[in-house]
Amino acid sequence: MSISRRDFLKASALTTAATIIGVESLVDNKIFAAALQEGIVWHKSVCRFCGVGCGVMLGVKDGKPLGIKGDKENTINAGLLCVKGFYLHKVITAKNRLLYPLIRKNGKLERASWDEALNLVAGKFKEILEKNGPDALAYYGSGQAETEESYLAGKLFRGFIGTNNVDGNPRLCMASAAGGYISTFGADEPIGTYDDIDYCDLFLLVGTNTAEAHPVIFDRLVNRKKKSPNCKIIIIDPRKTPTNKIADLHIMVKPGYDLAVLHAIARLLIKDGYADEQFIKDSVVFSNGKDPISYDDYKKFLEKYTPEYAAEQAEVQAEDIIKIAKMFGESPTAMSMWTMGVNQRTAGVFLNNLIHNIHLLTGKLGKPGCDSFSLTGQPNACGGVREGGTLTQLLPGHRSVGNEQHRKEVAAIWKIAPDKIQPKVGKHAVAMFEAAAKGEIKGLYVLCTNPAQSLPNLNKYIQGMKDAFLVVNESFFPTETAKIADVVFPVAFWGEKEGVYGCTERRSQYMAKALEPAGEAKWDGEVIIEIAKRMGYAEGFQYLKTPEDVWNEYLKFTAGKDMDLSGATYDRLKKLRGLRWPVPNTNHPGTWHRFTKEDPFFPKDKAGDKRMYFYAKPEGKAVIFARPNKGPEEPTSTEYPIALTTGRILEQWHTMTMTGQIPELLRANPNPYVEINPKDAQSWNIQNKDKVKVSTKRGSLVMNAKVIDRPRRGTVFIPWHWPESLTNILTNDAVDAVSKEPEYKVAACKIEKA
Amino acid sequence: MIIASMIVKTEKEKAEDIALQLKRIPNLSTHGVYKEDNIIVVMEAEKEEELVNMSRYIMNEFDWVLGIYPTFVASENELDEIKHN
Repeated sequence: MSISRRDFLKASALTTAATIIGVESLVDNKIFAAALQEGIVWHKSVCRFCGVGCGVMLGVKDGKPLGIKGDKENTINAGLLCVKGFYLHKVITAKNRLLYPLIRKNGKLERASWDEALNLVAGKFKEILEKNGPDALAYYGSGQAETEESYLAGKLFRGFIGTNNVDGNPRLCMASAAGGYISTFGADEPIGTYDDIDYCDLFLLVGTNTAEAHPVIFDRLVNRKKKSPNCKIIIIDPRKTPTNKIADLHIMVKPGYDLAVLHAIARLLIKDGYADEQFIKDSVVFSNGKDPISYDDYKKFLEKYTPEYAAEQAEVQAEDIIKIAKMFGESPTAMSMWTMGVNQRTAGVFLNNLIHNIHLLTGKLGKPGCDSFSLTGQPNACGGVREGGTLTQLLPGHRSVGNEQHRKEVAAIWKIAPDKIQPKVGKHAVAMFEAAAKGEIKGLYVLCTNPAQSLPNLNKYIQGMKDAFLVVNESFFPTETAKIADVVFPVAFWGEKEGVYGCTERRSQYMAKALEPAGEAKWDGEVIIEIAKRMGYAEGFQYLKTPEDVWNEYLKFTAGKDMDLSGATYDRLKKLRGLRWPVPNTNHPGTWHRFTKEDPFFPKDKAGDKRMYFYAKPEGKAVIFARPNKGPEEPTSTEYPIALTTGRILEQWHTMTMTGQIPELLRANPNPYVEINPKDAQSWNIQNKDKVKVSTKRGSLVMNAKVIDRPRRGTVFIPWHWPESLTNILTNDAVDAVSKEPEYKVAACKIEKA
Repeated sequence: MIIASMIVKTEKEKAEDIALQLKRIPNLSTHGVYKEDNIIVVMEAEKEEELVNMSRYIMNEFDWVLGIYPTFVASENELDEIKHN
């Protein structure tokens, strides 16, 4: 019997889909599938894109990446992939992979040898260090780098060069979530996990387009809603998105004016008797942000936040706020989820606190179906950056730069003098590039990220990057940052190196090396170690031969900490689909709910009969904050009367360094656009596909108008992905006072026909 | 020419209706509704980006479609005829 290629492929396509759903093969397809897979070796890994942490299998045949399939055994996604993850293998062999080192000579980037490039960087960094001191150097990393890579960079810059100018792009996306968790609960990262989704009866989605930014989580919400007819979904967001398809209630708040809404919900929860008074008595204290206050003080503070007042602030209906409070209060379980709409705000930490408040008031935490759960934007922002200690104020293992004991513990493991690590916090992302613009930072090492496209108010910072001695580790060329670098190191991409990613739900997962690096590319860790050696720090690095060596050293920092990963050895992680910390020994299965009796660090003696004990806080009590009602940094005005908000679309990711390499994705949305509400378009005399000029105080861009019933009236939305149209020329670089995260989500703009 | 498959997830009570409607789209074939609300769709198209375009089209145009997840894509031109006995 013979079959055509077309019939064979159709049968295989059918079989693959059927397998993921978990139904018997529809026809005699197993033979086809087996034939298709002949000679393919499948390697267990984790998706390279968002922070969900989907398990993927990378298929390799004859040393080449042949395909991706969802990992059926991974409980996060059970084999499902979004369209970006589905094409991930194509990024590996993209035409613009950088295959050899580049050095700028006479104004142009030219091919160089590894020795020449490494010696140049080590020599230049040493020269800057000796002439200008350690704080003239800086490291800017990424939530996409592996934990081992981030850890090594932090070790080099803090422990050996001696600067805390160590920060990364999670500063731009989730620093406010970290600030919220630490201030409210005393420790970073969520209390629950994705498992809570399967028990939840009410989801409150704030500032998140889950359907496009986290499609697999969206599918889990869909499944929960189907299984539990009483499950409700509420959205608080200025824009309609595909997530609305499952919404029971959506309030379209005016961008930047939602704090009053959260306060009003809290007020109603107390007033209408939904507060869990025993939980509050056992596990909660109150604060105005400076001093402790009483529960009564908090109630007085909330008095002005009537539904009517909040509705006026946010330009929504008061009765909808009342409905939300009632639904939240009456639901036996509740999860809040949020992303950049909450975090990328100058009131980002405050808003995080206010979301936590309503869970603390109702005791909807630390039990199945309940959590205040931040959705992460990058695959290893939690693991490598928040846990690995590569935000400027952090040291590895949830330690703080400002804590002398913590510095001593780190110095002991690194075998350096305790005073080598400076006690003063270094420069956060925006301050770092501001210092480069002023000439204070003279040498900048950028790893696995693209700040020349992703920083807010870009025009302010580009020249500083050009003026500094800029070194970039990158797998692709060009990127906006690599274009202006002095040295570009070609580094191994996903699939060409092994390592660990830690995703949103505290789960660390191992990624196999399935391929040799393209061209002359090397593992980022090797590049850092080589620079360290050439700067004279061989003793701190030369014994680290493999990623596993680095991971094992890093595990020492986690032992006994709230994020204990001692049981997450490479050996174990290679076999399992990740482990959720705390996992204090190799027999431990990982932890679902922190601060409860499930948590291996739960202090039963101190906790007594209390259901939750927040042991990272002095009295074991979390904090409900009476935060001021802060609006956006740049309200609309007569000159700039429209609110501008920016964000993501399904097919693209961040600066398109990866998704821009996949023609199938690129062609889906090839041109930059601005979404305009149809009624606004009519009043502004703008038609769909008209060329329009969008201007803020900081700059202007011309793009296509997309007239669509998505943004609320008076608000426009621009996806920020396209390098040929740098959306961040328009965005505001004002930062949250605590988290230092910029306010990408709200700016004032004007629009005119171009 | 490419052959691709995807799982279209829908509201439970709308799955059969949507499967019928999807059948009417040129180059798409549906292969039943499974586990109440999962429709298996196989697509043939000239260009690979059609898979992405079709996903977005279905998500935007069908109110009761709640998600589209690609599962397979391959080019007809890459291999010659495959034989098996």
